[in-house]
Amino acid sequence: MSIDENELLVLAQNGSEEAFTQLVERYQNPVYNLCYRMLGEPTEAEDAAQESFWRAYQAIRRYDRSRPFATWLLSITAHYCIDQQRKRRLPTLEIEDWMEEVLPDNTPDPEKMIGAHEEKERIHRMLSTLNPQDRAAIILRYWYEFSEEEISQALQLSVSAVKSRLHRARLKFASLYQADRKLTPGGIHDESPAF
Amino acid sequence: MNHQPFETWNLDRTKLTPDQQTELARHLETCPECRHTATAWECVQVEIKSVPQVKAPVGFATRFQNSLAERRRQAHYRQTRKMLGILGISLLVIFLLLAASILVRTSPAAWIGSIIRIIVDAPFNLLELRFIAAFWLAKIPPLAWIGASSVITAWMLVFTLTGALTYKRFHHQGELR
Repeated sequence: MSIDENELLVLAQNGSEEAFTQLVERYQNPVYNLCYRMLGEPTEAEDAAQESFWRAYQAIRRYDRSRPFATWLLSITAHYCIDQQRKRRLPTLEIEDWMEEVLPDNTPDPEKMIGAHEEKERIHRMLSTLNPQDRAAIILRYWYEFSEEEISQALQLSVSAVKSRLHRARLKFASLYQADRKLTPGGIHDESPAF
Repeated sequence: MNHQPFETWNLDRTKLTPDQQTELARHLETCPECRHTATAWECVQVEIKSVPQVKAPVGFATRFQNSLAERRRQAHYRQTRKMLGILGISLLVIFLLLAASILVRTSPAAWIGSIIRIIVDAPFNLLELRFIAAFWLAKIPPLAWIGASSVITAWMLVFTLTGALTYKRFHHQGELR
């Protein structure tokens, strides 16, 4: 944590609106990204990110400065997104739906041919098959490089629960990937970059 | 087929000891199912890393700052409503408890009888009250009357002014619809 950030946190805890806005400027991208990955829709993601910052603003006096601010803030964001998903009952795709979605449609879309776009879409769809807490765990692990302990603190779960959620999500991702590759020309090869 | 502990090791190799890594590699040579899972998970990880962090829309922080005043006002309004709600519910609970305790101790017939008696006796009681009030008011010295009316008038003025200012404030904020 830089000295500047520490000062900003002290000022924000003493009620400085300006200092908190500077913190918003610093953390808007990670917070927005988490909301976007959790909710999958830009407008909802912005609303959720704004609400998360508002919740952080209301709770800033209770923030313990010995903890990393990013972890605290992302924890608030993750909880809010999980609540939103539960309230809105966002559908989680089942494998059958996934198979239908990955089958090639007849409408020509040149953008779909671009590899990077396809990868983004695939990851997006894979995330949508997970339940909110598993999704939050996997996003924090692979986009924010949180350790299992940090995820357990952020999501208020035990470390063993986090481990089992991550394992379940990884296994699901692997099987979805295999299902996807079997449907596309070329299929899956035995050898990965790691082997 | 039981693939444990290889299934777990296969999907998270960050904490594996060298011995466990060798054991896993040996298992993968003989188990095509785990090998396919490993390959797929490796590919997923590569894809995850290739998906960049999405940036917040332009003007995000400014929008947050602009919304702060409104959010604070709404939070204050919600808190006031909540407090009034709690107060109302508490009064209702007290009233219900009192009514229940009275109903438990007396019969409905006694209740109806009491109500009729109160209605019938009301004119006489009011007349008696009037006599009592007139008797005591006659005992109050004239100077005390002036002081009491000044205090009452001042309080009435304070209440009226506070009420008017509160109404004006809420009205301007659009909180009274």
